Amino acid sequence: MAREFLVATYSDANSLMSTVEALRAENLKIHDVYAPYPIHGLDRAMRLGRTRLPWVTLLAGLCGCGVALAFQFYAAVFDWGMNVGGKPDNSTLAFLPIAFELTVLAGGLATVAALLLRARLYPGKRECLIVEGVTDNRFALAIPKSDSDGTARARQILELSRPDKLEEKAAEL
Amino acid sequence: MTANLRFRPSARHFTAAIVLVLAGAGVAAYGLATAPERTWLNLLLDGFYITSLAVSAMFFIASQRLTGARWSAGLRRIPEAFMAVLPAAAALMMALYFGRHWIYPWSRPGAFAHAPALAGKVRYLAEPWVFVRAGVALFLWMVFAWLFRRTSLAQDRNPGSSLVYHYRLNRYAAAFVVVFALSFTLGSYDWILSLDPSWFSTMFGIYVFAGTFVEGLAAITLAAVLLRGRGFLTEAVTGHHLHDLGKLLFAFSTFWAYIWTCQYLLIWYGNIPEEVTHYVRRTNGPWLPFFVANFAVNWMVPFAVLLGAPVKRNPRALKIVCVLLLLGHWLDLYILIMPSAWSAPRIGIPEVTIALGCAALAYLFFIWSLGAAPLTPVSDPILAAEALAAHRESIPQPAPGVEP
Repeated sequence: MAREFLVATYSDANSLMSTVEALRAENLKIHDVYAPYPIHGLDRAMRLGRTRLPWVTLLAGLCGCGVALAFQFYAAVFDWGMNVGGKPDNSTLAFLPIAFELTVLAGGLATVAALLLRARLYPGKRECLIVEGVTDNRFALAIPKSDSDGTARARQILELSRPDKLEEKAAEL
Repeated sequence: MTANLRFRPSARHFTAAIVLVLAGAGVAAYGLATAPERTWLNLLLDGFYITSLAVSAMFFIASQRLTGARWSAGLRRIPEAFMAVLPAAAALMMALYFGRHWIYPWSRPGAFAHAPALAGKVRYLAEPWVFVRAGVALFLWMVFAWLFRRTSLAQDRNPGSSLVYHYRLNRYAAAFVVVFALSFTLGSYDWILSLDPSWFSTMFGIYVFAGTFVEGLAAITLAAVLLRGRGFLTEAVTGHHLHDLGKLLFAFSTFWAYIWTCQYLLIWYGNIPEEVTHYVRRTNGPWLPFFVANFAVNWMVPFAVLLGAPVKRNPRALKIVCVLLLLGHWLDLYILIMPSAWSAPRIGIPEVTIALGCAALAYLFFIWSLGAAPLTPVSDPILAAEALAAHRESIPQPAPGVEP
């Protein structure tokens, strides 16, 4: 569903950064910013909360570890016990390498999958660039448009920030 | 920046260190006369401890240079000061020649006569060859320490050609890591593994290196935190730097645990007689608590403490973890060295005083070198670039929120 945005475009990172700071200083809402490369300190300037991705990593890692240990225990003790160097069937220490690897594998894959899902990136997705050139040399900032005072104030700040271009756009972001 | 340019040690610490060195030397001299085996083992342990402190500081410098790291440029003088410990440490290590018969079974006449399993090691563990190897390794490390330091100071004096010295240091660093990898592996085999010539472990070199690098990182971090607490290096050591040092400590403590587990797991699983003897002795009887404490102190506690991001920036927490890791590496070497000669652990006056004496000796060389040059490198191109970038950011931008 397309929504209305107020979009300002800049040609350098510093203008984007100082506009973000000015907007956030007045607690105005920013939908998102778009830049061709990661800008150091931008997430802090936007006052983004802490990412929840590590919880996905932790949970998936624990699952991977649990599955690996449980399967090896089942295979070595219940299903097909074997005498390896005279060691007991349940030699947990010997299960550790596989448990470790599966912890890393499950944690890593799940983190990437969660990131892609959350960012709604999937194979075959149509590209939707807010402004031409944000993957090249442009910096853009989008503010959700509503009829409140906030939008008016945000528009004022954006105008004062001397953007290359300030436009209203309907987009599916 | 100019206010705290030079480090001045406090007279109290200096006197305390001198007293500790004298006490350690006294106890060592008395011990050599009364209980030579115990004393030589302690000298090996503590000598190797401060040697590895110096070379791991050099490895820190080299690794930072080779990765093109910019964050650590301002605290370069700390590892440089630690590498000044090398001459004292090398003298201690070479002195082991006089105690070889007490601690190294292979140096006793006829050691290989009734041990056919060791016959393959006869040539490698021939007495002159071992000590020539040690001498060459220590000499090469000292040459590199001298080159690192001389070039670094020359850069301070010649701002005009700072880039020339910058790249020269990078080339020295590249040469050093190659020399270090070979010589430190051989050194760890010759000095520690050969205490028990019947034991085999192909992972031993990397195991000792892993612990050594953690020791160096802990010492550098501790020095940075302490110097900052006393008003030095306040610009070079910010929260970001502490965070980075904390991350390195966390990562390499875990790397040590990884290598520890690899070595233990493979030997336990393979269960080959010439390999398991090492662990059989250490996991049975009175050594077991030390063996377990080693793993807990060097990995479990640091891992749990340093897991969160805020803790890595907390100077108090870092200080405690660093002290723990420094003690932990001593314990690690203790559990590697002592069980080869003793049936039960002994921690008494000789162990404590000789260790403190060596630590104090290292401290004296450290503060001497730290005070001999400006605490922040004067004309480092990296620092100059960072200062320029900071300046550019602080140029006032037209404030968008303000009414014209």
